[in-house]
Amino acid sequence: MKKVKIFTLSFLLFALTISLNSCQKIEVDDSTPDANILSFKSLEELETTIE
Amino acid sequence: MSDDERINWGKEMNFKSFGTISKTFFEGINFDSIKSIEELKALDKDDKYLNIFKEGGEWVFEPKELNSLERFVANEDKLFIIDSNVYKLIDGGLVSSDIKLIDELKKIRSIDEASVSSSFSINRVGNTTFKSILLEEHTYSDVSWDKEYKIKVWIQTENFWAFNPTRTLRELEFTITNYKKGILGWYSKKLPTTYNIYLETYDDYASEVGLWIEASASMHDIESYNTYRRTLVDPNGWTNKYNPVFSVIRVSASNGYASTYAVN
Repeated sequence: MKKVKIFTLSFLLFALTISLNSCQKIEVDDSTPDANILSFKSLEELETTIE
Repeated sequence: MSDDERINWGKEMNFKSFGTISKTFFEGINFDSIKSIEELKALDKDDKYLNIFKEGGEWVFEPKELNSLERFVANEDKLFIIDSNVYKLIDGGLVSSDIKLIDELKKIRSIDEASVSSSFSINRVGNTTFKSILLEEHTYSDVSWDKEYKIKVWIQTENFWAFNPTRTLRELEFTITNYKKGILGWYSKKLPTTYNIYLETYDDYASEVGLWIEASASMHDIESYNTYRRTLVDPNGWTNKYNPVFSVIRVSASNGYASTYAVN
């Protein structure tokens, strides 16, 4: 009976590990320099930059 | 600016924009294996990069601020500076404040939240329930025969508050977005797109505020493409004297799988 319990627990642990590994996780590299903000003199300058 | 030009520009400036961060995040998601909205939301716990909404009863997934041109000049907090003011992108809208209030603006999460404080100016409304501008808009879309791909063309003409200095502008704008079907719904996808679009807005009482926009391309590799034209309606502030309406609509767009047409 004890062996059956150990086997069942081991199997559940194995299934949980597989399940967690299959989940997607997206790592975001949002490391940015300090004062990382762009500054424009005018709206026109900004529009020229993004066109 | 093409994707490659923008990447090189970012490197030269030592700048990583919100647009680049959210685009990279979005492209890392395998929409063909995600089985629940909860699983998808768990990838973006702080709700920073992923836009999830329902359209016509179906789920649609896009990178946040996909249709905001400023996303590639805004920083990771969606902020940029013009002159002595700081601006924040929020759900397609744009809110500004004096640069001294940058920390307060950084905390603002919605256009509605900004609208109740005199410290902030709302420069563009975007996708919120808060409406104070005049507009006419239409959406045209088509799905491929095997229901795997979709193309959507959104057109709009509006009068809106401009900023720095405050004045009323008329804008004519369109956005083309391509989608692919995932297990849960449609996700935006880069596809070679051919389009020919002509839009015109004309006011019988004020021809000087009339506008037109013409754009065409063959096999333009786009996930979403947005462009606009503007003209001055009133240099002294807000006016609703001239209603923006479309006088001509000619839309034709195809991504090789789905095609949409509209003529008025």
